[in-house]
Amino acid sequence: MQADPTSEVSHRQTAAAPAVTVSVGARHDQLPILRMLTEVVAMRNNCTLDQSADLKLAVDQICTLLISSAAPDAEVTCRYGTVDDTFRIVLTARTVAEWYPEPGSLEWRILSALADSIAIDQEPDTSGHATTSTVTICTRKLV
Amino acid sequence: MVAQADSPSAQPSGDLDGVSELFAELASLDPGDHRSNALRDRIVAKSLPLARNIARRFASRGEEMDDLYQVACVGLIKAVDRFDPAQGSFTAFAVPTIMGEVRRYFRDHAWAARVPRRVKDLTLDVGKATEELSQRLGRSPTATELAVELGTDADSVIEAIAAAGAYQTHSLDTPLSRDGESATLADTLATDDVELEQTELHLALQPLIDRLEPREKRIVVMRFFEEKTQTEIAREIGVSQVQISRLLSKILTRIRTNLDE
Repeated sequence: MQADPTSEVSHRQTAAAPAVTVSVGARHDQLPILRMLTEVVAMRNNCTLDQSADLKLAVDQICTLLISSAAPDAEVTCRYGTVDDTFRIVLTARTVAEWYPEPGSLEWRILSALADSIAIDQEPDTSGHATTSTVTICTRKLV
Repeated sequence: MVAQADSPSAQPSGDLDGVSELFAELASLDPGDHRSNALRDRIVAKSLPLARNIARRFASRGEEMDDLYQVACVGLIKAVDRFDPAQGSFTAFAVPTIMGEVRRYFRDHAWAARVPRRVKDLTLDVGKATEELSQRLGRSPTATELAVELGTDADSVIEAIAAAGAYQTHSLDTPLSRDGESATLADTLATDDVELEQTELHLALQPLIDRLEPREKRIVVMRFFEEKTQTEIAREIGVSQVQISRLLSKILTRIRTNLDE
C-alpha cells in the first residue's frame, strides 16, 4: 500500500498503482479487511466503481470458501496488481478440503459473472498434508 | 432527570401520572369515537417527559438534542398507538419502543455523527457525479474520472466511497414513510414478473434460487443471468449502486449458507 511519496504515479491518470500484498489469518472475522482493501485497491488501479464492487463480492465469496477449508493456522494472502490493461487479484491459502464450487453450479456461475476470468490452481504443499490453493481473478480495465 | 410542569413526577421506571386512567378511558370508547384523537393527544402530551428523558440519555453521542427528541416522540406516538392496557404498565411498554426508535435513528444516520463533514459532503457529490458520468460514459466511472469531474484527487474520492460503504444512510429495510408500518424500499422491489423459467437457468439450481425472497431473486437474475451491471440494476430499481452491492453480498451469503446445509 506504501506509495513512494516522490513518485508522480498518483498524478497520472492511467498509471497503475504499485502492487499490494496482504496476508491475514484464515478466519472469517478477517473478511471485512479483505473486502475493504479489495475495493480500495481496485479503485486505485482505475477499475470502474462497478468492477470494484464486483471484485469485492468475488473476493468475499472466494475467501469465505477458502477460509472454511483452510489448514489450521493458515493464512490467506491477497496479491493485487495490474499487468498491461488487466487488474489481477491472486488469492492463496493452504487448504485441507475441497472448497471450490462445481463448474456449472449456481455459485460458480455467480463467481464467473463477477470478473472476466477466475482460475483455480491446486498443488500439494511441501508437508504433503495440505494443498496450496491459488485463485487468480482477472478484470480487464475499461479505461 | 427532566421535570416538566405538567408531569413533575415522571420517572423513567415509574408510571406516568394519570396516563393509565386515560388509557382506560380510551379503551372504553368506540374505535370511531371522535374523542379518541383528543384522548390520544393528551396521553402523548403527558408522556413527553419520557421521550425527552430518553433523548437526553442518547444526546451525548453527538447528535442534536432537538433531532433526538423528535425521534423519541415518533417512538412515543408508536408506543401510544400500540399499547394494550391489558399488558400492564405503559411506561414499561413505551421505554423499549422509544429506545428502539432512537437506536434505529442511530443505525440509519450514524455516519452523520462519525464521518467527518468533509468526507460526508464529498460522498454526496460523488453520488451525484457518479450518476452524471454513468449517463455520459455509458458505464460506471472510475475514481480518477470522478476526481477530475469534482476537481479533487482520486484518493479523496476513494475515501468518500469507502465511507459511504461503511456508513449506510438508508438501508433497503428502512420504511419509506415515517410510521414504521408501511412498506420498506425492499418490499416495493418485489415483482411477480421474474420468470426464472425463461432464463437458461439449470433445473438443479432452481431450489436454491427459490429460497430467496422475490426481490432478491429479481436482483440475482438481473445481475447473474441478464448480466446487468450493478449500476444498471441500481438505476432500474431506484437505489444506489452501493445498496445493490450490499444486497448482493447479503444474498450471496444466504446462498452459501444454503449450500452448506
